[in-house]
Amino acid sequence: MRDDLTIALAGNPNTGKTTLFNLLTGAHERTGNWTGVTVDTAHAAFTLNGKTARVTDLPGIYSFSPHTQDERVARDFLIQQKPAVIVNLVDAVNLERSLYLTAQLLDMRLPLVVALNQTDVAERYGIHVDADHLASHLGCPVIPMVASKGVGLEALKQAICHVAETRSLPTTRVQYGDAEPSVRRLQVCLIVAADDAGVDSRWLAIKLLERDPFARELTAGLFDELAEEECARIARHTGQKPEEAVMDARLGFIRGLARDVVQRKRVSRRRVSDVADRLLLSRPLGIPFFLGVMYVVFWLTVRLTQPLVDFTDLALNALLVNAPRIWLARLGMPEILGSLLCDGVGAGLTTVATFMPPIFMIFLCLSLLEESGYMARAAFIMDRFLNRIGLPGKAFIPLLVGFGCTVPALLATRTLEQRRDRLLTMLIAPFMSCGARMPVYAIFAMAFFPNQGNIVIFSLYLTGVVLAILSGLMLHRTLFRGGAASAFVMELPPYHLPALRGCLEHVWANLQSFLVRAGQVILTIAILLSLANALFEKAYRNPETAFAHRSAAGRVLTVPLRPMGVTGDNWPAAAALLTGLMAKEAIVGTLEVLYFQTEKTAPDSRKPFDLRAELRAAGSALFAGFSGSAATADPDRSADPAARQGLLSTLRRNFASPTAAYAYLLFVLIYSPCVAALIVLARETGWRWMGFAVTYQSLLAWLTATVFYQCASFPAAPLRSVGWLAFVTALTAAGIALLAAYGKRIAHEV
Amino acid sequence: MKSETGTPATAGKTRNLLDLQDGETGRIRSNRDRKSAEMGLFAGVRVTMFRNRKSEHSVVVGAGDARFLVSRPIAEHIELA
Repeated sequence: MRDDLTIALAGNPNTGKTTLFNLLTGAHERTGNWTGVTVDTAHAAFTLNGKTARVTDLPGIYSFSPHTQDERVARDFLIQQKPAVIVNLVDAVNLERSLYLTAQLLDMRLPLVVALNQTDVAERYGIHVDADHLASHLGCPVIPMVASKGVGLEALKQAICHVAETRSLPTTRVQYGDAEPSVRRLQVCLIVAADDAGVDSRWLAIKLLERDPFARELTAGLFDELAEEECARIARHTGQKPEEAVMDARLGFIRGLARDVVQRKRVSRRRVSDVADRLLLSRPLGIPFFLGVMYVVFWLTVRLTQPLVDFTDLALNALLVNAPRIWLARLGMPEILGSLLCDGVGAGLTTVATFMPPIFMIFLCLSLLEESGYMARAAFIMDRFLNRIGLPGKAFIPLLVGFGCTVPALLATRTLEQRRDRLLTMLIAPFMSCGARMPVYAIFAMAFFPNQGNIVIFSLYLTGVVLAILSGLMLHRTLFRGGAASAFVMELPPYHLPALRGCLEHVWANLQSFLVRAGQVILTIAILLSLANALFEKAYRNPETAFAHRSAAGRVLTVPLRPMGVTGDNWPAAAALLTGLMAKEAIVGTLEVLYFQTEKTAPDSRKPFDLRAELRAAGSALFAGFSGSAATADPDRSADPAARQGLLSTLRRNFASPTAAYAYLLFVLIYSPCVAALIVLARETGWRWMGFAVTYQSLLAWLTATVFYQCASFPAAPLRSVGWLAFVTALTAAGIALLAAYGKRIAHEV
Repeated sequence: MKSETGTPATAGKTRNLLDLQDGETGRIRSNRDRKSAEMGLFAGVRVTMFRNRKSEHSVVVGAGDARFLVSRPIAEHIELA
């Protein structure tokens, strides 16, 4: 056996590939209960018989036909990487359907082990699959398994070792009936070409008869004429298109196989899922239930975690920022070191820690919903709305993924067949407010709307969804010039109780990734800002002068944001939006650092510091929050100076009103996604579309926030509001006309 | 579960998946949509309609123990015996 053994996991979606991948490797890749969760390959390694086995989890696919990018990713991996063993997971409950991919793997003539998974569920449903008989028909090992419980794992590992050591190939070849003579004739001609391409000649012949563009690419078009002759022969003989004849023969093989190895005790059964779907997909209940579920998620995320956020903010501010500053000053350390350690590292760590409770909660809620199978139904519920913007209901899955993070949402569009659908979905996916924005919403909600925080945050998410649909409608009619929604077919997995352990593992993996990624960005920005501030002060030698110059420079940033309620003095809010381009989580960290710097230089900001008092205040806030008396506590009116510390009260001092705060949140919701998402967007669609996305979203953010603020503050300044609203209307009309004109120019591209 | 009935084929008109009402079953005779056939809605498979509303763009259909959301334009191409 080679020192490094390469193993690929292939199979239909929802057959347990990622569960098996995690089981084999100890990794914590995400499992999801719908198509499109794994749309890229995942890699990890484990030790097998003293050797390193490198496992690749391929996207779940139904066939190797080149319909979607995830199918192409899986196919290309197998052909180019040539793994030592392919483990094909088939679902014992839906064997016939699963075997379609197996039949294609037999054609590819690759070392194969079939893992017959979910045998426990099959037995429960009265379905018995004779694994030994199936193995004799397929000519390769078949291992019964229950991957979620680890049953069959050792037998699978042994089978993998055996196939790798002996380099054995499946002995069965699918016979193609009336198309078989054409397959054999073509195969003979393709021996050299197949060898050059590193593929099996029979497989290549079948692919050419199926008119697969990939096969034509592999043969550089040299055999197209010959293939067409054979296709015409098949069509004359069978009265069918050759690809249909090939498919029929393959299905005939599978049907015969299934009849032989599957025994069913019951003909049909009514499932709990079917009963639940009658209610949850019904028109009167479907949408209200979905909205209700999302509201509960936001209530849990904001309300339940608010006391923890308050406590963390106050306690860590005291321990990591204020106390160290006092100690360093007493030790006579240079001020620049104090800035770096306290305002940089300390403030950065405080910010990151403050995010953990709401991020944990929203990831947990979304994970539970995914695992339960409910999220797939959301595609059905949203189908009628998405159709109006020319998208299939299936496009809602990537949009839903966007509530966690925009990057996997963009990648999940690979499951959409049409390029136009993929483009439009990627342009509206960022409006699904990602988890990284949640800390910004949570902090502002707690500061300005302490009693209605969950309603405020829910309204932001709803606004995002509404804007996604409205943007989609506008883009559909202008840039994408109409067109009916493409047809789609999607599997609905059964409902089941989410495995809490799996959900928590998934949440922990996401939290780790978030902490590392956000922590790096936030700490870096916090350190750079505090260093820049310290150097700035040193250059001017006078803190007041440095403050005045810094404020003057910062005010320039606020000019375009004034119509949406950001005042000139609140320049940290404008600066935070710039750092938010790196990562949305950085917005709160930047605000914290910059507000502290501006308030520190004010003459009356140097209050006496009492660590015990601050920690007591933090404890009181935690107790008050969970006991329900938080609504009556107002830190700003507290006689205890320590209670006035913290970002929440700083925000209240710097934003003119809750209206201005909400307008700012609207901007944060809508404007450009982070750099990571932009890079993925550029990779998937090109730099031009990425540039369009940044411009469109940022402009829309400004328009929306301005309209909101001007409407809300109309009574206070009617003339000003009318002026701005007229300007916004004109700008919007001009933008739509421009998009329509541009849409005509690029009609052939989309 | 209702038996294989649904709307009977009128002269010259083949039955398709959209002709099944909620609870009715049928057997697929042919499916011109390759993608849905590869997913499990292929000839010979017995299907059950779970949700078919003219106002909705998709139908919910079961094949064995699998459940599918199928757009109406695709469902039209799935002929029943």
